[in-house]
Amino acid sequence: MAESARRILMLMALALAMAGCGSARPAKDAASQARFGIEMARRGLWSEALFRFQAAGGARPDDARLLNNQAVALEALGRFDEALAAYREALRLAPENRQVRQNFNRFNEFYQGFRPPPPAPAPTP
Amino acid sequence: MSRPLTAALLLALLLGASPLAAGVVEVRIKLPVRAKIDLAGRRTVAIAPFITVGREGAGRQSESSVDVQQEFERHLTKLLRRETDLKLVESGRVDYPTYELDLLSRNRDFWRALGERLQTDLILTGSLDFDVQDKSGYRTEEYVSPYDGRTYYRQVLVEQTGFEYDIVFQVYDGRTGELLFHDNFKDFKQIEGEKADPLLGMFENLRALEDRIAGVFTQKQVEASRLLLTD
Repeated sequence: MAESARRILMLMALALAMAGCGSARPAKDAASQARFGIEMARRGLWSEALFRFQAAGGARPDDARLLNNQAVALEALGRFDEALAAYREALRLAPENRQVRQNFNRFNEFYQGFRPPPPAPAPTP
Repeated sequence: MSRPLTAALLLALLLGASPLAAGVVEVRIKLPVRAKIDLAGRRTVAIAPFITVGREGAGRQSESSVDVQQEFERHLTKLLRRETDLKLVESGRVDYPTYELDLLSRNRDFWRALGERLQTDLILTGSLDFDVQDKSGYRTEEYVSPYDGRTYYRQVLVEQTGFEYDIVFQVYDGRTGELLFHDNFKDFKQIEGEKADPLLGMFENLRALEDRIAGVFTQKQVEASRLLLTD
C-alpha cells in the first residue's frame, strides 16, 4: 500500500517536472523579451520596450509583472487610457503586489490632474 | 520520503513553478502637466502692477536697493514672451481701489473694467514678498589637533544670507472679471556670505519658480519614477 502510494507520488512529481520542461521554452523566450524590454526602457526607447513587454505577455498573459511593465511603457508613450486598463488588469491578477500598487497610485494621482474635465451636459431644449 | 521522490518533487518545483522573487528596476518617465489656464480663444495678456509686501522680524536685513516689483515684472514679461504666444498689453498706471488682495479678488467689476480699458483677455497680478535674512550662525566642526593628533570639536561662525520669495499669483478674465487662477509660489535660497548680493538671491529664487509660473499658461513636462518588474 505504502509502495503504491509512493509510486503515485513519484509519477505525479515526474508529470509536474515534465510539464515544467514543456513550458520552459516559451517561458524562457518571454523572459528574454522582458529583459530586453527593460533594457530598452532604461534607454528611454519606450515603443521598443512596449513591443517586447507585449511579446513576452503573449506567452505569459497572466503575468502581472509583464502587465505592469506594459502599463509603465504605455504611460511613458502618453497612451494613458490603455495604461490605466493595463494597471487595473495587473492589480486584478496580483492585488497584493506592492510595486504594482505603488505604480498605479502614482499614475492615478497624475491622471486625475491630467484627464480633461468631462464635457458640460448639453442644455435641454 | 525517499531521496528520489524528494529530488523529483524539488525538480518539479524548480521547473514548473513561476518565479516568486521579482527584481525591481526603477525608471524615469516624462509626463505632461496640463496648463492651469485654458488659453483657447485668449490672445492678449496685461501685467497689472504686483503689490509689494514688506515684513518685519528678527533676522531680517535692511531693505535692499533692488526694485522687487520692477525686477519681477521684467522677468515675467520675458517668461511670457518665451513660453507663450500671448501678446503683451501695456497696463500703464493702475489705481487699485484697495491694496488688500482678498478684497481685490472679489471685485469683479474692477477687473472687468480694467480688462475693457486695456482690451485684454487676461490680467495678471498678485503680491510679492522678497525677504533677505541674515542666516549666519555658529556650527560645530570637527578638527584634528596638529599637536596631539586628537579630534576636538569647535564652534565656527558661518556667514550666510537667506533669500525668500513669496509670490501670490492671480489671473483674471479681462472680459468677465472672474478670477481664473490663484496660487502661492514660494522659494527659499541660502547663499554663503553675510552680505550676498540680493539681486543674485532674487534671481536664484525666480529661476527656481520659473517652471511653476510658466506652467500656469503652458503644458509642461515633469519627470516621474516608475518600477519595472523582472523575473
